[in-house]
Amino acid sequence: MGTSVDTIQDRLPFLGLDIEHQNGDDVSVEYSPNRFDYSTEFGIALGLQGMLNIQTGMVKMQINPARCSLRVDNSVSNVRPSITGILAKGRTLDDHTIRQIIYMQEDLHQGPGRRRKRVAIGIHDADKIKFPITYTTINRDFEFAPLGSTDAMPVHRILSDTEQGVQYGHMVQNHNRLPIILDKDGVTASMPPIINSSYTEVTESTKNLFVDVTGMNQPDVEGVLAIIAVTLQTAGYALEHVDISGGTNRTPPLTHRKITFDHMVSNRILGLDLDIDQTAQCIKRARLGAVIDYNKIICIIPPYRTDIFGIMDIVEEVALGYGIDKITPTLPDVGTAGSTNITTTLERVMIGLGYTQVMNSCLSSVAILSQGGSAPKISVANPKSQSHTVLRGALMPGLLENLSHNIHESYPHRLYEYGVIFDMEGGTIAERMHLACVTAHKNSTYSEAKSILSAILHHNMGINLTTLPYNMSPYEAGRAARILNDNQQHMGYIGEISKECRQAFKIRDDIVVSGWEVELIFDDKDGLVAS
Amino acid sequence: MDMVYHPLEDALILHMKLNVEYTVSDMAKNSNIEIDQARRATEWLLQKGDIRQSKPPQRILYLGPEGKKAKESGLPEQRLLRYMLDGIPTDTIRDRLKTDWGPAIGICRKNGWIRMDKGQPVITSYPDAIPDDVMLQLDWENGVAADRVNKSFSKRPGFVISKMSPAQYVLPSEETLKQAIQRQNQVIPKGINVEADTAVSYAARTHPLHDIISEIREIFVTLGFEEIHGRIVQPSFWNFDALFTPQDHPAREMQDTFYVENVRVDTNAINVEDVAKIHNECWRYTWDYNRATAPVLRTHNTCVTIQHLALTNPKDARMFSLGRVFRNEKPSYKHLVEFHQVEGVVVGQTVSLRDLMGIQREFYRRIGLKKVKFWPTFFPYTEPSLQSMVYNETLEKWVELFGMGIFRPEVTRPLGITRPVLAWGGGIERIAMMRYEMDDVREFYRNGLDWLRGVPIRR
Repeated sequence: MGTSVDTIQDRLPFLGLDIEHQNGDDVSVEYSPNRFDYSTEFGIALGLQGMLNIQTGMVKMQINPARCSLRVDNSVSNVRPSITGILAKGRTLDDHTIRQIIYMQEDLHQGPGRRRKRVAIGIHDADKIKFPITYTTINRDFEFAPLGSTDAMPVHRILSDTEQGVQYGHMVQNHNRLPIILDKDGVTASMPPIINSSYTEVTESTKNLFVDVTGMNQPDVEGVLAIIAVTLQTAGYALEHVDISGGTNRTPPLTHRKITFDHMVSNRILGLDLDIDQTAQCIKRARLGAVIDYNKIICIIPPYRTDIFGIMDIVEEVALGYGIDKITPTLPDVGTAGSTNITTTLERVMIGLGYTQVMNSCLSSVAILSQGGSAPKISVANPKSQSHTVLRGALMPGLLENLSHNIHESYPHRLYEYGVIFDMEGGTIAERMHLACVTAHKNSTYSEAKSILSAILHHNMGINLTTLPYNMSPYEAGRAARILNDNQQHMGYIGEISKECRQAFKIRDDIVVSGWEVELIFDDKDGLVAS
Repeated sequence: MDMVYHPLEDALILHMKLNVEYTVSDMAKNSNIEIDQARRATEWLLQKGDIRQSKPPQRILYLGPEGKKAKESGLPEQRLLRYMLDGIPTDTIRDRLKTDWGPAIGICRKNGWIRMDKGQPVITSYPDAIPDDVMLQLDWENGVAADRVNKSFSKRPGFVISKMSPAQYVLPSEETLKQAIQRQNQVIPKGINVEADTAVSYAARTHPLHDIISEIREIFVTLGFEEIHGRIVQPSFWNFDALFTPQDHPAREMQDTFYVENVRVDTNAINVEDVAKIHNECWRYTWDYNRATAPVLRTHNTCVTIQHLALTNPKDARMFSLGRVFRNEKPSYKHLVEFHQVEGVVVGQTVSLRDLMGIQREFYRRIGLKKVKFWPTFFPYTEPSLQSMVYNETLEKWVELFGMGIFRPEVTRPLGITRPVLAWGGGIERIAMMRYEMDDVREFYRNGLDWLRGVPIRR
């Protein structure tokens, strides 16, 4: 083809393909999880042909009539009811192409297949299989040689001893009889969704392929089959139907759908002014069919475009066909008054008092929270990072951790944090805004902390505070208090940090701290969300 | 040019005698000033050339306990050789030397003074002088400069104690002293050295990330947006189901999303049957209300905006929400477990994708990012969907910023939202990293005072 590498690289992002990296003429792209037809270079080529006006309109599927058949036994209906399949004939595969098809298969297993639960794909050397074949069930004593093994082994051992058996066996563990695909002579082709047999393995000398797709419902398996079929057709295979019957199964029609589209919808949504012909051209460049019928466009959707649900999906195809880079942004008139009710009062007071703001994570570790005297109450499931396993119930532990990290910086240290903390109230989570401040230097005392607290809450916010003795760790005995407001509501704590706690955080200097609930000082609580 | 003298400098000079050596602590004591003050004044006077260093700081060695013992009774090797010359039997020598026996044998053999014959030492050549004995005979009373002492001697355990002797300074010129006295008698006010460096003062500061957040808030407010708030712990319903994300979608798995254990959360769900129907039809599975109640740490703020839209169904609106979101990841220089996002929506009968792109471009322009382009992408809840690419001048490459799109009818229709909704959102830390030219996103949450106190404010 006479298209330069640069042109292709330029257009790839406008197909929705992110360029991961490029090295000379080698380009790695990442496709979006709605376009599995872009999982091989064959699918990407079809998309580029449209974009570059080399070939537009719907990709037609040419499928020869069936000469072979597949029969489905009713026993599969409980475990994995749906199957479909197709034959692809007439070319051999080089290593590069085999690898691409295996990657596509793996991507489909992960994506729409949901780790093979919804859909599993088997690709076989068709010449090893004697038709008609049967999709039925067997018990765990049944034997065959799984892929990667030359010896036959019983199914229960395949489930316990092979990598695929261990990984996917859970899907059939509650069933006495397991799905299997057998050929005319009873030779095993595959035990979906777990493993193929080694007998039908595809090699570089394989000329004809049989693809089976099994799953939990017909639209899923037929959608995935369509993606594989269009890829194999583009790779140069001649497709041939397999006659399928039994249970709720049928020979896959692999036919197109039609959606009637009004080009004024795409004009309105995209902010464009295209006439009906131009709109139809855009749709065709996105490799859909488009036929103008009076003042409407009949869009023809090939079976592999399972991502298209309705009108808005067609609008996106128009945008892609038109070229996102050709759509110029416009700034709409503002008809609304902007507003925020975030208050910066406390922030200004704290800065005025010489306190520097820190920001810590809401998700903390058990060690930090416990050391800081706030035993964790709320945890998250399966955290990947051991520093982020529990939701903080107080700001103070984070601030002590900050002091601990800064012991080499010149003193005094005055830090504050304004943020959300989490508490349990009758089985549900309460999220509350707190403010806490720490003061660390050689001679910091309770009096200094109370002076600061009064400056904030009394002199600036007009609250008449009461401080009542409080003797609990991590405060020094006799040198800490609970903070109450005018209405004798509990607001928080103030005090000197005990020597044991300071040692746990490896801090030598004296530390005083106060922390309290912010909502108790404001009437309007909406804007108290710190960022 | 007249040089300006600080009172501390004069305090030092006036208490120095010509060509007498002083340490800094001598000078501090004599002048009755703090040692730090004396140190600073000494530096200034050195620069002016009024005093000079007569001796640099030096390492001085003194005899340690083992050294003193050896000085009294001789070095182990010396004693061994002497006993052997005196013909004392080996066993007796061994008894007398006790723990010194081994080292004595070792040293004598290494120097070739003895050899071993069937376990018995035999003298091969008697040395004229034992090198370490020469060291021992030095005058140790006032210490010996480290460079005069052999390594083999100073390395013997307990033989020497090392101390640093401070630098010594002298006042070489009488003129300096005279001028200082003159300055004391001057009537005009004494000047200070206005060019000298001073101690560092630190301003209390808001967090740099907080500053960017405030700036972003200001931009959206001035673009006519109203700020809305929501909770961090959200039911899956609003974080996922209402946004057309199927219940078996990989993003919903525990590997990616934090589920909060052993708590309940109010779902505030509305139109549950319509949501169930659209999931069942489009994604072909049986939607389960129970899974929609599972509490998660919100993975985006779109759960806040969509909830607000569903509950108020405004005809025309511009709203944004800003706050922390969570992803179950291993933190790295470019990924955090917990970070900030801003999400915005525009509702209106005539709003279009071009408007959406225009709002993004205007936002980026105001935050200082001038080169912007748009690429198509995919999100489960918007169609069409775009991502914005912004040119990072520091890295000299295009980086991905906000994602955007128009809410799918599959999202809006079940919730009773009738007008088109433009929606976008993205991470704030990425923008802050560009602003502060940072290459490790974790730096924001390390709260190092060196950084918090020193990072230049850029706007």
